[in-house]
Amino acid sequence: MQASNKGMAISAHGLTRRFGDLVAVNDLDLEIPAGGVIGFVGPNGSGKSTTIRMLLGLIKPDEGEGSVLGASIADPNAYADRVGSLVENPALVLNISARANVESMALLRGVPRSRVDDVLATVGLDDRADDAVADYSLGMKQRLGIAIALLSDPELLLLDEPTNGLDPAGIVEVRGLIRQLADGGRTVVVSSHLLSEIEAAADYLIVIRFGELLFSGPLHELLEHEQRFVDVETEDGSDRETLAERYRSMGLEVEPENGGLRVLVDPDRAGDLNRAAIDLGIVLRRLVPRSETLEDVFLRMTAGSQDAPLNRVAA
Amino acid sequence: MTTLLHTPDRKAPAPVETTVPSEGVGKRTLPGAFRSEAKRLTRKSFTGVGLALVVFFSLMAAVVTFFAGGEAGPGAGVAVDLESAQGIVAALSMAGNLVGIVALSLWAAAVASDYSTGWVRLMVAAEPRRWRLLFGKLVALSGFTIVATLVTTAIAVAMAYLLAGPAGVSTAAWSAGVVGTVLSAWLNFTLAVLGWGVIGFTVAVISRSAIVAIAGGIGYMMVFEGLLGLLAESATTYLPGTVLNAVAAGGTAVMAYGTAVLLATGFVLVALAVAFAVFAPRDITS
Repeated sequence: MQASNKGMAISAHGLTRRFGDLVAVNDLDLEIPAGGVIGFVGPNGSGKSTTIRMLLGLIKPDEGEGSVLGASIADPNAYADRVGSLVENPALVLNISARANVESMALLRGVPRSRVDDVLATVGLDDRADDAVADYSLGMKQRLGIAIALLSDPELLLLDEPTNGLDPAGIVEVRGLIRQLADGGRTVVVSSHLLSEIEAAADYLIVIRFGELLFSGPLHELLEHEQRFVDVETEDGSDRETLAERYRSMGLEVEPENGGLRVLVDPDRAGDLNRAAIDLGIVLRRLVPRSETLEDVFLRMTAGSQDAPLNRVAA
Repeated sequence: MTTLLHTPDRKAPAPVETTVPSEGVGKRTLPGAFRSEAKRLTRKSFTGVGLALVVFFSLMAAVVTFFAGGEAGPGAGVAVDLESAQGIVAALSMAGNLVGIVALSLWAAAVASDYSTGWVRLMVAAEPRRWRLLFGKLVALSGFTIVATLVTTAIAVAMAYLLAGPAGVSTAAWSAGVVGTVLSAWLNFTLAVLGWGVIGFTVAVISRSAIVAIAGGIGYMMVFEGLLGLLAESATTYLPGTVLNAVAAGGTAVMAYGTAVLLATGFVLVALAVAFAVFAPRDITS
């Protein structure tokens, strides 16, 4: 049975892949809408690359089903011409020119020769196209990888960590290119282990951890998961516990934070917190209303799993 | 427009097309798979090193043939009477296994480099019909090999004329049917070298490592078959190295040419079947 995919660029249900005893992707359900930039985020080892490889037909799922542009992932030949990809580091032949690399892939994909120049220009490498790739910087290799992904003018681009190893300027540049591609009508799925790298460009977000879906939806919906709080610090450290007890008696949740207290409360109630301290004769050194950033939300959602190895054992 | 970055390796990207074709712009074909491979094989580091090795071994084989009487030890080809009509192509027979090892190494390197560079990811994503990828590579490598054997043949024939005098070999019998003799020798030599190439191809597909494929191929031929042949010649009669050697020589005293070609074809078909069977379902994790 083919997964339901109406209006979806990618759809998957129960996608599971094990490598021996390790479960890289576990019963993953995905519904990725067509159009725009889709951020595919999770810590290292969370199963992003394995998922992308399954969608590209590079590896087969052990269980589950999926579709890409309406065609089953069991038959990647049905959509290969409409999908471009960059999986992990750019795969390039170093001792030939960038143009020869692109031409080799153009011949395999059967695209017109004119596309070679087009894609090299798109990524800004046309004037260095005849240089050996071995002489390229990491950023240039990354852009060349994107050029190859663009060869067939695909509807769907799957870019796995496209900003890996880039300097801040390179990241901005690739981010801009991704935005341009999406504005041209494509669906661009960008995976990253850092939300901050793609939040500026993404319209829709998928967050996974340990191969399982944590969040899927428009970016603004993730912000609804944000926590708001007030950081409080007493001038005299010995007053901290007294003040914490007082806040708890007010029905508030209090956590120690960097020598002070973090009170999980709407920042609009900062005045109440101050008044409670004054009532006890405690002088505050700091009273800072704060909200989580998107990155904080992401880190909290994926807590304890940064750089986690594939350490789940199959049931 | 994307942000401009004023460093030497960066320039402003061109505006991206705003229309996206619904079916992509490509039309994948079998000749395209071959041409894609040929494009990467024609790089200097591959063709240059490959042809240099072929020339070196061809010259070496010619010198050994005319001055060492063909007794070059394990791995050497079949010695022929230099003053017979076959004398003009005697070096080809001698070079069969040497150039075969070069072919095995180059074919293995061509396959394994797809894994070491990660290019195999792009290939399989672009052309999920994986048999086409192997077929394209097979045809491209065969074409390269045929060019190499033509070069070897030309060197062998030229060196035969150059070395015959100093070696005291009479060339009186060489002129009879020389074109047929050379063509026939080239064909046999090419078939044998292609056989070696396919062995390297298959071992590299299985191992995904050029070093393993080359070491395994050379070790098998030089060490296993070579030593086994020294211990008991009859034990190696039907093994790949001996069979391909017989093909290169146009048949030997212990194996008729037709039998050798039949056995070699069998080895090649089995090797290719194994390569395709291994590659088709493989997870591409490189």
